[in-house]
Amino acid sequence: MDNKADKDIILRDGSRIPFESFFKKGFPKFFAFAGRFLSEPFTQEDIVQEAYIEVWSRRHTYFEDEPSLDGYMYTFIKNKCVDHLRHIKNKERLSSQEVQAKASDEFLLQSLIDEEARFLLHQAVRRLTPQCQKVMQLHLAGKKIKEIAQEMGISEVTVKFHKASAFKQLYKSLRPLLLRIITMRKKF
Amino acid sequence: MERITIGLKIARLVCKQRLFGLTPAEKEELAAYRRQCLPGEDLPILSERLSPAALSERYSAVDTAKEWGVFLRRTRRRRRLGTWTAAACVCLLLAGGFSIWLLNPGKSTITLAREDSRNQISLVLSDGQKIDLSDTTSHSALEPGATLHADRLTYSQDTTDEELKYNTIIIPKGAYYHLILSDGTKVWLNADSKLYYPVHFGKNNREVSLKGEAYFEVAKDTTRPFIVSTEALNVKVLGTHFDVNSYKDDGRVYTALTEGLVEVYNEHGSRLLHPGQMASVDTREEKPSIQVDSCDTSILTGWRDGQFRFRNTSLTQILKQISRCYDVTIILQRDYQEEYYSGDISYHIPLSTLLGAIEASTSVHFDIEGNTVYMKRK
Repeated sequence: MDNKADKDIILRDGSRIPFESFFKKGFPKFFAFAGRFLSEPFTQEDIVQEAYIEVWSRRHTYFEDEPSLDGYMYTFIKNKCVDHLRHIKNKERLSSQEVQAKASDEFLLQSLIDEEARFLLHQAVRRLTPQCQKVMQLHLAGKKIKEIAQEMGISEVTVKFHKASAFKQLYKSLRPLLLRIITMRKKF
Repeated sequence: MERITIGLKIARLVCKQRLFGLTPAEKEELAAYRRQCLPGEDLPILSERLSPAALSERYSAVDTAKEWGVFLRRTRRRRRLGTWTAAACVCLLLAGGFSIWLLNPGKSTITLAREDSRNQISLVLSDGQKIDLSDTTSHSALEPGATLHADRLTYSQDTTDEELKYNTIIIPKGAYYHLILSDGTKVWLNADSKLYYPVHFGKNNREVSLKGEAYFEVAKDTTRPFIVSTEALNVKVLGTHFDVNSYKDDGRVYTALTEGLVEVYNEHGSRLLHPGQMASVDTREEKPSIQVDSCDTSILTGWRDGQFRFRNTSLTQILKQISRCYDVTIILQRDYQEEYYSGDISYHIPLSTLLGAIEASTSVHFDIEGNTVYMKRK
C-alpha cells in the first residue's frame, strides 16, 4: 500500500485505473444499488466495502476491462445482499417469494441497467452550469422547447442556446463513454 | 457475466437516448441488446421523469471520503493478518478459568490475569513433559515436525500412518498465541485457553479439543472432516469459515460462522450453521439443546484484530473480557445494577485508559489498586 503504482487496478490489456478514483467514483452508485435489495444503510455500506476489498485483492490483471470490473462489483453485491436477505428472512417476516424475486437474474439486470443509467446521467448533468441544468431538467422531464421557455420565463432562442451549450458540455463529459459505445459495437 | 456486460451497454445507450436521442443504428442496437438480455421487460428509466436534484440526492446518501478511510483501515488490517486462506474459519470460545460470583450475596469477584506478570505459554508433550514456549531454546524438546517461532508454533509434516501423539498448549491470562497444525490449519488462541491436538492427524478425521477461546482457519481436506470438541458443543467443519464461542461462566457455549457451512452437535441433537449465524447451548440446562440465531460475527471475533467490540454488552460481560486480557481481579460493589455499553476499544491500551473510557459513558467508577479493580457507582 506504500507503493503508488501498486494502488492501481491493472486490466488485462495493461491499462491502469487508480484504485482510489475507482472507489470514490463508484461508491455512491454501488451503495444505491445495494439499496434496491436492502434498506439497511450499514449493511449496504459493509457489503459495498467487501466488494471493493475483493476487487482490491484481484486488482492485478484479473479483470479484462472496465465493464467486467463493474459487472463483478454488481454481481458480488447482489449475491451478498441476497445472502443477507435469506438470513434475515425469518426475523423480518419476508416471504420466500420476495427474496426469490430479488435473487432472480431479471431483477439483477433491471436494477443494474437502471442504476447505471441513472448514475451516468447524474455524472453528466451535475457538471452543467445552473441555467443549463435547469433546461436539461425540463428536457429530461420530457418538455418541449416552447414549454421550457414558458416555464423558465425566457425566450425560446435563449432556451435553444442553453440547450446547445448543455449538449456541448455533455458531449464533452460523455465523450469517453460514447466512444466506448462505438468501440463496443465494433466487437460484435 | 455476458448478460451483465450487455446490461452495462444498454445503460449507456439509455443515457445517450435520454440526453441526445439515438441514431437509427443505435436504436436498433439497443433493441437487439434488450431482446438478448431482458426480452419482454420494460425499462422504466427510458420514460421516467428525471430530475438532476433527485439524482444528486440519490448519490449523496453516503460519505465517500469516510468510506475510503474505512476501506484503507480494512485492507491494512488484512495485510497484517496475512494471506491465510483456508477452507474454514472457526472461532471457538469456551469456558476459561475465570470465575464470577454475581449471584452470591456480598462482594462479587472477577479474576483476571496480571498486567505486569510475564505470561508463560506452555506446551505439554505426548510424554507428559511440560515446556515453556516463551523460551526459544526449548526447541530441541519438541516433537519431530514441530518448529518454534518467536510468536507461534508450527507443525509441518502430516503423516497419517503413525499412532496419534497428542500435545496440549496452554495460554495463560493476558496472553495470545498462534499455532499452525500439521494439516495447515491455523489457530489463534485467546487468553486463558487450552488446546489438545494430535501432532499428526489420523486417516479418518482431524479432531482437537478446546477449552477457552480460539479462532480456526481450517485447511481444506474433504476426506478428513475437522472436528473441534468442547465440553458442551462440537463443531464439524464441512468446508467453511466459522466462529465458535462457549463461555462456561456464562452458562453458555456458542459458535458463530463467518463463512461456509458447519455442523454443530452435542448428545441432544445437531444443527447446520450458515454464515452470520451462531449456535448456542445453555449449559445450565439438564439436556442442553442447540439454538441457532443470527449474529454479527465481526463483533465476536474482534479479539483477533486486537479489538474489544461491545454492542449493548452487559458490563459484567465486558469486565470478564477485560479481566482475561489484563489479568486483574475486578470486585463489584454489592448493589451493582447491570448496565450496557457499546464501543470499540483497542486491546493495546493501558488498563486505566480502557476503564476511563467505560467510566465516561456509564454510571460506574473504577479504582485500580495493584492487580485489583474496584467498581463503584459514581
